[in-house]
Order: sequence, then structure tokens, then C-alpha cells
Amino acid sequence: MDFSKIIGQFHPLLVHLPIGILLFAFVLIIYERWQKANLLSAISIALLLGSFAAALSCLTGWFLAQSGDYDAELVEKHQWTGISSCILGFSAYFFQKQRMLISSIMVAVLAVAGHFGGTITHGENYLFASDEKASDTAIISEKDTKIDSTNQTKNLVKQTFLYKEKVLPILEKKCYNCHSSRKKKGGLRLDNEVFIRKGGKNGEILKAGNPNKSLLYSHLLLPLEKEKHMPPKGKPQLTSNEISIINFWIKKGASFTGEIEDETIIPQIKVAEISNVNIASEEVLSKESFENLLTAETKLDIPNEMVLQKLKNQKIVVNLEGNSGKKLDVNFVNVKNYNPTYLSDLQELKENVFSLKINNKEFSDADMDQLKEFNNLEKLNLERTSITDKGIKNLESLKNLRQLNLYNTEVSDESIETISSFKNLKVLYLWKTKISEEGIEKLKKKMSNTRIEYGNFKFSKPDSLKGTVKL
Amino acid sequence: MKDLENITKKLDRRNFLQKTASGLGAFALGNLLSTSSDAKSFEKDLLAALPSIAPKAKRVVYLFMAGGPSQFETFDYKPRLSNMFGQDLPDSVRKGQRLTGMSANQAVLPVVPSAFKFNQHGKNKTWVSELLPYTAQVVDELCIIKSLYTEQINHDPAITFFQTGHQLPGRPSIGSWLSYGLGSENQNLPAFIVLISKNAAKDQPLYARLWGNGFLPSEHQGVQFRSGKDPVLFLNNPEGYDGADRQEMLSYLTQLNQLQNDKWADPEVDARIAQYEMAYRMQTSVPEVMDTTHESDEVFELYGPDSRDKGSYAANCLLARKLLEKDVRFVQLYHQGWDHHGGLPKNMAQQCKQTDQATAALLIDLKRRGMLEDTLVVWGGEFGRTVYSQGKLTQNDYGRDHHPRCFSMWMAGAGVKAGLSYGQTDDFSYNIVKNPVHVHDFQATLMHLLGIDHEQLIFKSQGRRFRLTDVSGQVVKDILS
Repeated sequence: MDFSKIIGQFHPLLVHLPIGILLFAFVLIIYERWQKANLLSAISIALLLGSFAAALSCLTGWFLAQSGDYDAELVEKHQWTGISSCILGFSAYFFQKQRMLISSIMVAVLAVAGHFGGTITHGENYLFASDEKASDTAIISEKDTKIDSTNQTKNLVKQTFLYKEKVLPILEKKCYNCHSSRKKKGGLRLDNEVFIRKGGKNGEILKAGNPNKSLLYSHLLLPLEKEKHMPPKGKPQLTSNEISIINFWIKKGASFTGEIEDETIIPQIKVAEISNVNIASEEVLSKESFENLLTAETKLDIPNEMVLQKLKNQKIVVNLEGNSGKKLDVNFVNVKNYNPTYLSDLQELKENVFSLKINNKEFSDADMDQLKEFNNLEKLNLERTSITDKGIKNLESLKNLRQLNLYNTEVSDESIETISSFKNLKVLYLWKTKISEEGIEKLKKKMSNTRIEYGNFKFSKPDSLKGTVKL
Repeated sequence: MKDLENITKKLDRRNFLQKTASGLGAFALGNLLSTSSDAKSFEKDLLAALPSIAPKAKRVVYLFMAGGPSQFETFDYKPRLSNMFGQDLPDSVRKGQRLTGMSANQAVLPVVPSAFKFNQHGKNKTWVSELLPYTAQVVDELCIIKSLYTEQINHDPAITFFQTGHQLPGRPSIGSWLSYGLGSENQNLPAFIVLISKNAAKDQPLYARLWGNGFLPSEHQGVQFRSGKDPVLFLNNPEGYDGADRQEMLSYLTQLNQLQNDKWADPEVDARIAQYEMAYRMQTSVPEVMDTTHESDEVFELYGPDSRDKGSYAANCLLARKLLEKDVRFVQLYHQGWDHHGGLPKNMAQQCKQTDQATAALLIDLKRRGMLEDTLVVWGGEFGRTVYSQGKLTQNDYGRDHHPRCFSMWMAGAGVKAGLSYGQTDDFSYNIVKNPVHVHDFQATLMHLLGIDHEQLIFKSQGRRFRLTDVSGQVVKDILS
């Protein structure tokens, strides 16, 4: 932590001194006027001390504001009213004759400065928000008693509030430090249902039923080094158990009042494995296979530099993708004359290859044998190659295929069996293949979840351009 | 990024002093020039910008309709205008907003509805003008944004703004930024290729700086492919000059350049070397990709009759597909002639006829080849046109002036929601009433689709950090699929 931050942190402590002392000085001034007493030296001491404390507060406040965590507009207002109070305090000290007037103004300005300070720490409308909070708790306690009574009468399994009993303590322990009335980093507060639903600067953080789309959850999973990872590096992190609870809560609909059976076993998420996951917070994540998909990546070895270099020399494009650059997207676009040794080189990285594009006419059934073991392949593009049904059989082992492009190949109806065995296939390109129309229909029936593109689109001829104006 | 390291190494203080072998003045200069820390952080910036977002698009084809196509006769259907033919534009709509010098002095601003009918098409019943019968058939693939707006009211600043993020010349074009940030998968073709329709009315000029690299290293500039015998000028060997000789000459030239580079470390020397190498590889790759003899008749039919006429918009669309197939990063087409201050119905119909079928065909062709899912297609001009007629309004003739406050464009393919109509304008298509999208927002979104955080891809030039979106731009998340 750097020096300026440490100084800045004394601001919340110091601000209370000028408020107290200067107000006390004002009270003394009133008292003196009213009781015609002589308190001149006491007033002077109080004003000097108070103003000095105010100056210190201004200084520390300035350092604190440099962190940039606070609303700039508010900070500016707070800053100038604060500095004004300080100057007015000193003026009152030096200009004894106008003390009454100056100190009155000072108190007013001080009050305004204090209010802005309060707004910065406790949020907009903090004066009234407390009411809302109170009524919230009232509702909860009401619900509390109701549950108790049902428990007594029916004597069922003990119920607990999922949010209040399980989630809230985690938030309290690990999040409130920066996201509550004390501080609201990123404009986010988590200490009240209303605020949690509202979200922060970047929008909503909760998507009931879908933890992966909820920033409240997904930011916990980001790699520790990422700026957006929560809690930030160096702060106490959530345990895997705690992460699982948040996940479970959101999955169950993120209800603030819902209950679960006390004995419910919350499914554990293996945090060690997913902590490396790269989620750009705004990315939409594929729903079901999020965890699986990404655990697969962390298990991979880092691709061998030597092999990568060798491939590069052969003009094979290898893009390192995924969070840690372990997933490879391989493209043969620059390869002029395909040579079977290329694939055997690539085979050394077969686990890493997720996407492969070979479009060389020289690539034929004989080479397909080498593709067998690329188990992690998700995207395979063999358009415009010379492969036939014989070659396709070699792909049977590629169970992870999500996308297959066979456009302009010799593949025919004989391959329907093999092709329809790819259960995870989302898109299939079959334009200009030997597969018949009946074959397409058959495939469509067998693979209801797969989008099949076979270039069946034909423009209908517009008669001619019929405008109101003759061309 | 190795280049940067090289420069850093070459230009460290000691080296510099040795080279200049002079006294304190040089030392002071050395101080100014020792860019090592800057270069380092800069490199970090670039790396930080790149892998942060999972890319949806690998390539882009941008169909630029230069001149400002009217939104009234294309996508922004305004049925209520038909009752207002010839009436003066209400002040409540214009609200005193500025007009161009061309129509600001008109006594009346007569409202003119589209001369062309609109029909609903596709699953989402999207309204499309009858001028675009082919686009209408693929409308379910499009994400139409009806609420684009810009600050620029004249062609040159507006088109410069669209292409470079700034209205004044001198900044890098979108394609150059992408070439710089992402490079190209294809080593034999430039990352950024420009095609200009020869069959368009050349009412407003285009300039090479629109695809210029600005302050980026010059290998990132767009390369224009021409329609004539030489698609790229000066690429062929001079007559009577053997290919082997050429290669030998180039290798010696590279050595000479390298000597110069070792001495001065000017990045432009690197660029020069890279460009010579690229040009050499292009001697074979360009004729190969320009050769359309292997395309079937069916393909030419799809793109329309113009597609056999090299250099026409339709032929350029077909060529764009071939380039994208070769994994060229950014293909920019320009079709001029959309600046219809007068005679709009006739000219508009002609412009649409020249472009409509080929545009739709490009989408279909990309789709059936499996390329639409990682290729982003963009269609649009630099601004829209006014609801009122410029010049004389007759029963079937009118013109429309420039209108920057709202206009339509569309995106399709990789990462955008197909079949979406986004944003809304008022009944006069004069002001935006819902979901405005600024040019910078569009640029930010385009970068986002390619996996780049537009706030992170920065280049420092003349003491200032620059980016495509200048100091603004927000990704339009609503249109991302």
C-alpha cells in the first residue's frame, strides 16, 4: 500500500475533530453573547484547534479522494465546502470583531460539507434510506415468527432462510468492507436487498437462476490477477464452500426470503479448477457446459514452444486462445502444398487443438486417420478437401465436435450414420456435398438440435423494380 | 511486438550517444528519445487490449455506401408522412437544429414521404423498401440499427469520422487499427484490402487517406485492389525482368534496408521491408485470388449479372467473399453515388439496383460456406438524409439534404443478433427517440466483436495516446448475440 493511501485513511477519523471543536467554539460564542461572559481565550483556542484540525482533514481528504473510488462530483462539492469551512474557521480566529457573523457562516458551510461527506460514505439519500431498511427488517422478522409457528404445529423438517442464514453472513464477512454503507466501490452496495437488485455502475449483478450470468458470482471466479476479480487480490477470498453457496442461491432463484431445509446439501463447485476461468464479465456464457468446458482447459498442458515454432515455419497459423493460451486454433490457410507430416507434427499438441481448418485439395481420406486422436476438437473445417465417406469414419471418436464444415467434399449419404453420432454438434455445413435431399431430411430428423446449412436458399426473382417513378 | 523491443534496445541512451558521438546536446536529445519505458508500457497496453474479450468475428467486410443513403427509401419506414406530403416541417420537430448551407435558406421545408412502398419481410415482419427486394429476402440475417447518429454534416468530415474516429484527416482507418492490433492469418495478402465500385456515380470523391494508416506503421494501410489488368499497381515484374532476378534484387535490397535499420531504427524501415516482402508474395497470391474462372455459373447468378463485370459492385462483393475465404482480416468496399440532393427517386432506384442483389448474395454465400458465423458484415453510409425535400418538390421528384441526427445501417453475421431492429426515430426520422448509437459506439462494438477492448487499443503518437474511438464510445451490448 502506498503512502498517500495510508494518509488518506485517516480522513474519516480526523473529520470528526473540526466538526466537534468548531461547533463547540460556535456554542461558546453564542453563550458568551447570551450570558455576557468573557470566554475570549477559550473561543480563540477552540477556533484555532478546530481550524487546524479542519486543515488536516482537508489534507487527508485530498489524499483519500485520489483513490478515485468516490463520486467525483460529490467529492468536489465536499472538498470545496470543507476547505471553505477551514478558511472561515481561521478567519473567525483572526477577525475577532466579526466572530459572530463569520462563525455562523462557518457552521452553515460546515454542515453542508458534513452532509456531502455523509453522502459520499453512506450513499445518496442516506438520511431517508434508513427508513426503508427498517421496514425491510420488519418484514423479515414478521416472516420469522410465522415460520416458527408453522414449525411448531407441523413439526416438520427444520427450515432455514437461504439468504439470511447462508448468503448474508458471507457478504457481511467478505464484501461489506467495500460494498456497503461504509464504501460503495463501483457504485455497488450489497448490504440491502434493494441495493443488491439495483447493482452497481456496470448494471445489474444478479440474474436469478443463472449464476454464470450474474456478476455477483462470475466475478468471484475470475483469475486472481484480473482487476475485476472479487474480492480483490490481498483481501480475504471466498472459500470454495462459500462460492458454492452463492452459486446455489442464485441458481435457486436468488430469493431474499426463500427457505431451504436445514439439511440441504449444497452442491460443491470445484473452485480450484475453475479459478483460472476467463470470463469477460460482459460475455454471455454458454449455459450448461460452462464448468465442464473450462475445466477442460485448465487440465491441458502448455503447448510446446518448439512444436509451435516448427508449425510456424511450415506456415501453419496457430492462434493461442482461451484464458491461458492453451487452446489452439489451427489454420492451414497459408499452406500451399499439403504434406501429411504437418498433421503428425500437430499431433504432438493434439489435446490442445480445439479448432482446425484445412482446406487443401491434397488433403484426402488417407490423412483422416491422423485426426482420430484430436479428442478435444470442437470446430473442424474440412471444406474443399478431397475427403469421402471412407475418411469421415475416422471422425467417430471426436465426441466434442460442435461445428463441422464439409462443404464441397465428396461426402455422401453413406456418412449419415457417422455424422448423426455427433451429439454435441450445433452447426453442420453440407453445401455441395454428395448428400441427397432425402439424406438431408434424414439428418434433420436425427439431429434436431443441429442447424444444417446445405445451401438450399434461392432468390425469388422480384418482377422488376416497381417504383412510383419509371426508371 | 518484437519490433518495439528492438527499437527500445537500439535506441537506449548509450547506444545513441555512441552513434552520434557528440557532446551534451546529443545527450539531452538522447534523454528525449529514450522511449524505453514508454515503449514497454505501451506494449503492455496493446497486449492488455487483445485477449480480454472472446472474439466472435475473425474477419470483417464493410460495405460502405458513400454519399449518405436515405433512410426513408431503405429501412426507416415512416407511414405517417404520406399524409403530410408537401407540408412545411413543423418547428417542433426541427427545434431550430442547424441545416446545411444547401437548404438552410429554403423558404419552406416541405415534408416528403418515400416514393417507394414498404413491405414486411421475414420471420420478424421487418419493414423493407421495395427498392431492396433481395435484401428483403435475407432480412432475418440482419441486425438493422435505425438510430445511428453523427456530428458531421458534410461528406468529407463525416466519412473520415466514420472510418477513423475523427473528423480531421490523419488518424488510422478502422482496418488499419485491426491490422495493427490483430495482424492477419493470411501471410500472402494484406490484412486490409479496399475495393471501389467502378460502376457507381462518382458524385462525392473518395481519398486514399480513408484507408490510410495515419500514424500507425505503414504496412497497416489499406491496399486498394483495382479492377483493371493490374489489380495492384507495380506488382508485376517489369517487362523482360526475370522472377529470379527480382527475388535476388529484393534480398539485396532487404540487406541494405536492414543496414539502414540497424543504424536509425526507424520503424518505417521495418515497414518498408515488410511491404517489399508482402509485395513479393502478392505476385502469386493476388492473381490467384482475383481469378474467378473457377467460380460456377450458379455463383455469378447469385450475385447478379454485374458480377461478371470486374470492378462492379457485384464483382467486388464476389471478390470480397474470395478474400475473406483466404482469411483476409478486413475488406472494405466503397460504393459511391448515394448523395441525392435532387432526383432522388430515380437515382436511389438505380443505386439500390446496383447493390441490392450482390449484398444479399454475399450474405448467402458466406452463410452456406460456414463463414457468416465468424465474419462480420456491415452496410451503411456516413449520415442520413432529411425528411424535407431539398429544392423543388414535385409529385414524383424530390431531393433530400444531409441529415446527421439519425440514419440506418445494418450489421450481420458474427456475434450480432440476427433479425433485430434496434433503435427508433420519431415520425419524421428527424430525431432519435430510442437507443441512440453514436459512430464511436458503432466502432467500439465492431472492435468488441473482434475481441478488442476499444479503450485499450492505443497508439502513442506525438506525445498523445490515440485510439479509434477517441475519448468516447460504448459497446452496444443490446445487439450482441
